[in-house]
Amino acid sequence: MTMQRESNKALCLQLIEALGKVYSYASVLATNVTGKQFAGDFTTTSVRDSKICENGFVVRVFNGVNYSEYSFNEFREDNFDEILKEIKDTAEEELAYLKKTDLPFIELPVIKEEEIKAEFKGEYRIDPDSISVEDKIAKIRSVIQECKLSSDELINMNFAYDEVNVYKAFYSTKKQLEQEYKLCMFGLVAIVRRGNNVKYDHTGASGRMGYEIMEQALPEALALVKRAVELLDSTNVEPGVYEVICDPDVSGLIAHEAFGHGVEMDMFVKNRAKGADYLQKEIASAITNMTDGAAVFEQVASYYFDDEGVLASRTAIIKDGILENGISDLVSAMQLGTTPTGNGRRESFERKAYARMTNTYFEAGTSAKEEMISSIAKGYLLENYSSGMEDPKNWGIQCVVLRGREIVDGKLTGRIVSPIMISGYVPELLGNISMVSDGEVALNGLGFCGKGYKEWVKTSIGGTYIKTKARLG
Amino acid sequence: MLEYIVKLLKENSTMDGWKLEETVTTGREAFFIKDALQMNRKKKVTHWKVTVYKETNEDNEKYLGSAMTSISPGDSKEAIAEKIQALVYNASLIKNPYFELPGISQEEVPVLKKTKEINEKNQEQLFQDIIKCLYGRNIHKNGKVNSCEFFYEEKKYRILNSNGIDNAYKAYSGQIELVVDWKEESEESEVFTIYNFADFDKQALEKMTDDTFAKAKGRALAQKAAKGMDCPVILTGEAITTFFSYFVAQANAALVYKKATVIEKGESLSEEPFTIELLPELGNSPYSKYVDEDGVLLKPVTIYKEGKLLEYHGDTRYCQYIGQEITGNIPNISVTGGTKEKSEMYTGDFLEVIWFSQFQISEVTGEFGGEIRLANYYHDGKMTVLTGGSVTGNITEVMKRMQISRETQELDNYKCPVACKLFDAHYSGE
Repeated sequence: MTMQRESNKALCLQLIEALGKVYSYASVLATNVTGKQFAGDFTTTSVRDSKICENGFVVRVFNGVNYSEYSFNEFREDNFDEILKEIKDTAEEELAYLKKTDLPFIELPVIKEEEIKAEFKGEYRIDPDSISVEDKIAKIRSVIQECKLSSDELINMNFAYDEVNVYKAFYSTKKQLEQEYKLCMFGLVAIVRRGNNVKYDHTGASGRMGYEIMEQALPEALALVKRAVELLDSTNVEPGVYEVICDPDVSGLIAHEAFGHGVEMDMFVKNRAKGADYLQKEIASAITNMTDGAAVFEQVASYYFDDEGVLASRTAIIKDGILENGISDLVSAMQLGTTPTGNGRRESFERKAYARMTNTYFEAGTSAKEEMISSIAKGYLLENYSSGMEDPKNWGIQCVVLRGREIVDGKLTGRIVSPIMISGYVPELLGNISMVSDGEVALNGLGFCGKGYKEWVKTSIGGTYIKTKARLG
Repeated sequence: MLEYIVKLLKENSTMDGWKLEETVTTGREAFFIKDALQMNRKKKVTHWKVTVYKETNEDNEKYLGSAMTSISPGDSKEAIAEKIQALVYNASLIKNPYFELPGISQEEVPVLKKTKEINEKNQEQLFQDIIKCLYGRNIHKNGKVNSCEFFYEEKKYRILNSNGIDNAYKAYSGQIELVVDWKEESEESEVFTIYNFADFDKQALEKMTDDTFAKAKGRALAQKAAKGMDCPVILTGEAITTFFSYFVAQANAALVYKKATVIEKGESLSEEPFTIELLPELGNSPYSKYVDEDGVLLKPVTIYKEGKLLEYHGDTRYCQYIGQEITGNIPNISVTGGTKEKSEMYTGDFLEVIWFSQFQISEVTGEFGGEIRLANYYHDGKMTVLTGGSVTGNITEVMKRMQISRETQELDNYKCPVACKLFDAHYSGE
């Protein structure tokens, strides 16, 4: 442990002790997430801090009715009393101001915790720090150069590689938890042009791992350029309902956006999720199994404990078509009388914790991908997503898919449609899942997930190929 | 600590330039479920971002590399010194085309009008007033606030560089996430709104709240969209800001430099002679500022006039790369020039989309689309409220014949038409 972390730990424990004399619950989350992003395109290169870096503290106390939090990033022995005063001000004076709105306060119980003291450390094969900055820049430049040579229609390529060291510590009266692990990821965007027809495609790889991730960069990049060029010949899809096969990226997007947000249990507390009415009921076809968990897979949303000090777990959300469980943060679980699942996540120490997904995916089934394609008379193989938006209360779907490969009489015709909007009603889409591919479950954690339009956290999504019916437009 | 960082940067002779950005944020937050407070939060954080520049020469060509790092108040003096030295080394490995860092302007940084006004106010009172105002409109029999989150921040910015720039300003920003429910005979419907603002504007906040309830009621009464409607689509609200963001992006120097734009200067894009101006300050926009992140003083710039691209815009570096006068990154956008009153546009059969789940556009390809959460379908003089289905299209195919209203509205960092009629978009029903 570095001297800085030793010193922070001592201060945090001192703070918990001081707060424990005033409040019946107090905790502090200390974060120290450091790392770099190396990026390039055809003509420029950059080295900067990764966007997910953070370094600070958030204190939570039981204020006698519910909970108050104070976020700060300047914490030394000489401002200890000032921090203590700010916390008390947040939990007392600020609350007194809010009482003047004449609105009621929700009464919450005091958090009860089991005694635990543990340290967790992630594994990796190649330490990013063992590779020189020169080599990382050279790798990025060489991948871009090879792609440039592979197609005259490639007008630019963005390649961003992030390496991050995550250190988080959680302290309360009963808990002392520390975790440290590395996340590495790269994202590639290929922009192609033919006359005034401009298209782009994207790909990448991610994991709770080391620099070994970059071994995938060149083959992924070259394949990406080919797929992007294919898009220049794409046409619009004729709107309608089709039999579709979703690749792991698209099935992951459906798992995450269309359904996953609706089982975040802070939504149950607010009566914002239709999923609450479907618990232990059939929600999907009997061959459908969907899972979330920070304790499964070595991905960007994998961790050992969440931002509220709850140990990570694996949650079976849909089991054999039945909605079994939601995922929850600590406060929501208290309000619902359920067990927290270790899904309390913050955008950073500066933001509130919410119930958030981690690694969310459809489990493997029994069909071969080829068998799935040959079963379709007229439909599409949907590949790669652009975006999605949740609607947990009314279960509307908005998922934008980058590419659809036409299937006629069980064969891919070579015709491509792009982009494609999937709309419709979640239970219909899940209920229509008729085949799920076998083989390895693939997850991808390149993007950030928002709750509504804010609170961005890293999540990974994926699964296997699923066959269903969907409205495309 | 800022002085210490500046001292290190000034004393380091191995670099060829530097930039330091300081942001000090104090904020308060309140989280309500229905009308009851679940949690309150406060924060006080300071962030520094240091960028170091290093020149190199190769084959008589001059290059400028840069590297950036964040510095936290928790970093020790030794750690800061190490970070800065690492920046110099990293920047020396990068060979980007050369550009000049901005220098001192003779002009003072104007103080934002909103900042002047809010400085006079009691912050606790202002926060209370915002909450009370919103809940004062929670007055419906069939509709209620489901949950609401309030955020209000004061931010102090300071930007310094090696050419002597030392610009500072203060800005306020608020954000409300409002979710409301409405129950008619059908299942309960939900509507979700994000409202961004600088100052408490009672009238605007009440309107936002009332509009959110109106959308929820509309959705609760809406019918599932039918298939096969072939008619013009009218965009309203935030979708219009997203739609016009394509034009702003296509005029951005970085995108131009990367050859990802298709719009040429002087090319006639539309029968509608629209104008797009970039403005440092706009109404109640929380994004207003007179200085960008490079320390460049910002002034209004017209980028489109009479439906034609007039000027590119962008940051110091990319403006120099394409030989464009430096505009800096200007935060607010004004779209005007519509030739028709809204009432003239609302004729014949058409689909007026009130609310998309999320309307999106690709700034590169121009492809746009969104799932309809609420729309009014006008057919043979009758209006039907619809939900479901989607609108898609490509802006390059719809811009020629589009119509925009003369009437304008302010939304976030946009002043824009209240309606935009598209004759060549595709509608897919349920």
